[in-house]
Amino acid sequence: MKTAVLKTPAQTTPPTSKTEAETLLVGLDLGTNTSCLMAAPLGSDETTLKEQIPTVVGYVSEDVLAGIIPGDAKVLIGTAALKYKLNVTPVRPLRGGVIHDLAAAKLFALHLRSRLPAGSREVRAVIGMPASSDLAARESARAAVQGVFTKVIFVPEPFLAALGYRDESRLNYPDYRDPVLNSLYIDIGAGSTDVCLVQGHYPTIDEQLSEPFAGDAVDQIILDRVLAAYPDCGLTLGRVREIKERHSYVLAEDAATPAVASVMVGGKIRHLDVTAQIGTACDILLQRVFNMTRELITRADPESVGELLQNVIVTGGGSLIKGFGVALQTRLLEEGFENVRVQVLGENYKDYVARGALKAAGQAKDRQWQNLIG
Amino acid sequence: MNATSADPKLLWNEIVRWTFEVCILRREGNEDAVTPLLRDRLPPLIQAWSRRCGHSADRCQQELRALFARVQESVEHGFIHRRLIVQEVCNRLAGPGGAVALAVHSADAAARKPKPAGIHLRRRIPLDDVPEMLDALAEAELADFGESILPVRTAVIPPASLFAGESTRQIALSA
Repeated sequence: MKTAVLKTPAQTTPPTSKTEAETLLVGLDLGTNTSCLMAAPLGSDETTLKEQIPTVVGYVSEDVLAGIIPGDAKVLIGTAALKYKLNVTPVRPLRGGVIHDLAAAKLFALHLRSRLPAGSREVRAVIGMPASSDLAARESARAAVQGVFTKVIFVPEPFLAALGYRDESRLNYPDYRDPVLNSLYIDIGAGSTDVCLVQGHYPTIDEQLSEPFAGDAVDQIILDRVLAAYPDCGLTLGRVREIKERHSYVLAEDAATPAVASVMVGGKIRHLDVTAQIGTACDILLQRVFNMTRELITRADPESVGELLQNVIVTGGGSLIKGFGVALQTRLLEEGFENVRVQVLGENYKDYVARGALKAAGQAKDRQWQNLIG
Repeated sequence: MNATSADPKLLWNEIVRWTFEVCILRREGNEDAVTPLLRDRLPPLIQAWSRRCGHSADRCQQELRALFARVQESVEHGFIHRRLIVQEVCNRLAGPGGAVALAVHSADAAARKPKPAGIHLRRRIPLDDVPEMLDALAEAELADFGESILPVRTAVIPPASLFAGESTRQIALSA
């Protein structure tokens, strides 16, 4: 996982007051598989930290010999947990985009805090939440970051993605197509798929659809089908996820490289061709996304649809499925929609939510921050 | 109960209930749900009651006007009381209410369809206006919170005096 520290705090624009100097703003995309953290001092336009961290906490096994784990740590987080995966019990604090294991989530949040530049008296974080997260999910997230951040605001991820994707510095460029004026966003996460209309304003309740079917559900379908074909293969969800990330596809021509799962059975490696199972599961996701997209297009003002179809934007982990954008575009064209253009944001999709969160943090008024006591 | 009932008391009580529902929905800003009630539900009830109650047309109109006024007043008071209670709970719990000027008007239960999970905006806010968006989200979250601790239809119920010949318990059960 790439880590990029853009600038040290000392290189940034000097803050204008003592309060600003002591306050750090954070934009956080707390993702099921990967989280993205951005930070900037209050009052500065410079992003001082941008980092993607695997959202995983590894509890070091009791029987690991001294000296194996750096510093003989008992808990490893993020990249380190993955590096020493044979020596830890990995726990993913989030499931379906919301906190699943509060204790692990707290440890992960503390790790995030440790990545921030030292010296800030107050840290204010805008945190992205899945559009479908309920009151309990938000309370869990609040509990996880209590004592880590001083103040927080939770904002639905689609809002932040739209904010983050917009490049205000290019709005006056004649060839710049403002992505928030008339677009349809599709965010395929781990736990849910969100589709929303962004037409110059934040989507209202009627302008967004959310389904609890996304990457995790695809993993489960692949696992079920592989186990049906190879009952004794011992494949796990974690292994399925790794295989899917390398081989997922929705168009036959993209499956030129067979998806081969290497699994250990009775001490021997078995190579299983799971291409068909992966293709089937990804097709199910594609069909769901297509249905949601079609539904939302029919809700849009007919006058706006022509331009809207030119700006269908796919983001989230699911957007990395090979051929997804082309396949969705093809289905929409086959359905009779004209001049459809589906754009896939690609590997750096995580940045947009965090960047949008940081923008929102910079514009939030003091009264809008929720204090975290404790 | 529907407009085919012959008992004017039962018809009146249905008018009271649906008028109350309309006022709650309107107070919540849920005009989509109000329209079918005003168009399809209330008129046949009112016509049936007017034919069977034995009053003159003028008196029927007077009674209906008085009813509408009292229901509106009752709903408004109910919402104010509920808001104060939720606000107090929020303050004591240091919960999500601290950041916003309170405007509790949940339309969740009123929508008469399963409410999508999550926080949702009910009005259009320009993308440039981040503070307004944050305020709207805080309001929506507070409405969620309010609904979880004191649902609108528990806090705001029609006064027993509006009904014809039903006990308070019957009214509460049917509300």
